[in-house]
Amino acid sequence: MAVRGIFFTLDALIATGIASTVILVMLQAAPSAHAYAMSPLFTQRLAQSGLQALDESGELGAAVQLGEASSKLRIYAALANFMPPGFAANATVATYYSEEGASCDAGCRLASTAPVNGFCKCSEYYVSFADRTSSANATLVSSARRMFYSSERFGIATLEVWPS
Amino acid sequence: MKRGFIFTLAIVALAAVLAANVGISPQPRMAAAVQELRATAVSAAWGDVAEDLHFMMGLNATKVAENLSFNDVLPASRNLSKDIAAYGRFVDAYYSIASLNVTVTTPGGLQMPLSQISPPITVSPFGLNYTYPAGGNDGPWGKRELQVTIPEENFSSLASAGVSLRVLDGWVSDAYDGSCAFWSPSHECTFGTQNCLHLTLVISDANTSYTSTCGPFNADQQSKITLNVQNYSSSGWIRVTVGQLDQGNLLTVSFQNTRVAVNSNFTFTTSDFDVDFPVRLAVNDSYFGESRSAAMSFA
Repeated sequence: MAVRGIFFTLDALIATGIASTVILVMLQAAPSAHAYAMSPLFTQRLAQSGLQALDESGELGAAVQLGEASSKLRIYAALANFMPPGFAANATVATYYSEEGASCDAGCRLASTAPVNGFCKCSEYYVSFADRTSSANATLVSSARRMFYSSERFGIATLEVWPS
Repeated sequence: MKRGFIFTLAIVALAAVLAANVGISPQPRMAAAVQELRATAVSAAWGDVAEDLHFMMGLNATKVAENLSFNDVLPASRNLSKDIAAYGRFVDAYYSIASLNVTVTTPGGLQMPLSQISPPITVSPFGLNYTYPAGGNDGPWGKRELQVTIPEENFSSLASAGVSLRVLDGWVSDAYDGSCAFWSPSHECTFGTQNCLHLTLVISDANTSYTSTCGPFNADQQSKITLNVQNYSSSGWIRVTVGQLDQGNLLTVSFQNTRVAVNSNFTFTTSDFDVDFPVRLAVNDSYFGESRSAAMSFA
């Protein structure tokens, strides 16, 4: 009778072991959607498609036409529309013009009074779509860069994205 | 006894799978993830440069099934050659940082600066070229004239064409009735014409639209219409030349002292065609060994 009890116990232990192993293997093979969302690849794609959306909707080009305050508001509004819940972002938008002469126009001397690499820096806006100091996971901050062109001005936009 | 043996086998097999999944060193996984990140970045950079260049060229091409449509404005409102050259310098100075390198090559693989990108835009496999032949100080990108060419042997792949010209800074001062009277010379198709071009031509200004009822045209001979254009300070003209194929011309739009929005449509006998610049755009990340090189597709 006692021997039968031992076999029952062993049988139960083996069954538990098998079930645990199967569950562990399945968890390894199929990462959850949440895990994917928190991957650096996802945040980088989010940053890149965010910049593409800003460019194609004309928000980056508007940085050339509009003043700093209006441009920042438009970029903030566009990010608010684009960013999924649970993510935060910082955007930096800088504009330049090509100058073949020796000095930059009065409104474009942000970097220097003389052109640097043949370009003068006209503006640089920083738009924060969240407070990064909150609970940012620094290892998941992804950034992307994108160039744009509007009305003879060239620009570089950088977007940092992270799960908040 | 048998059951115990099967249990043991199952446990060993599952434990092996688990070990394979968990026990693999994270390094290869990390490396694969970084490689994928770089591949994504390179692909995004390629699209970024290609889109900017398309935008700068001020030409929009749309392909829907057998139909191809170009929207353009002549002449260029800015010095596009200068802008494209500056864009090339901007890429080098501010974008190609670290290991990212943006280059343009000829189909033969020869590297060329971005500033040397020039028309034609080619529709393959028909060999139809959309180009700006008349060079001024600003080169072909000045868009002083628009020409569409197709090899005579490929003409049969073109079912029909349409050109819509809209005068942007004045009005058509001729009382154009759409008839062939304004075409000089005029060579319409007759029975037995080998290369007959079915062309829809619409010329408009802010107030009026004129549709040509002349044609279809014998593409082996040259037909031409010139209409005078007037604005408050000067006068000019617009001209459409149709044919002749053996001299390499399918359509030419030329003008003087005016700006024209040109919509040109081409219907082919098949939807299997590509619209490209005859250059390849390459973005290379030399550090991670990632690159993307492809023809600059236009539609």
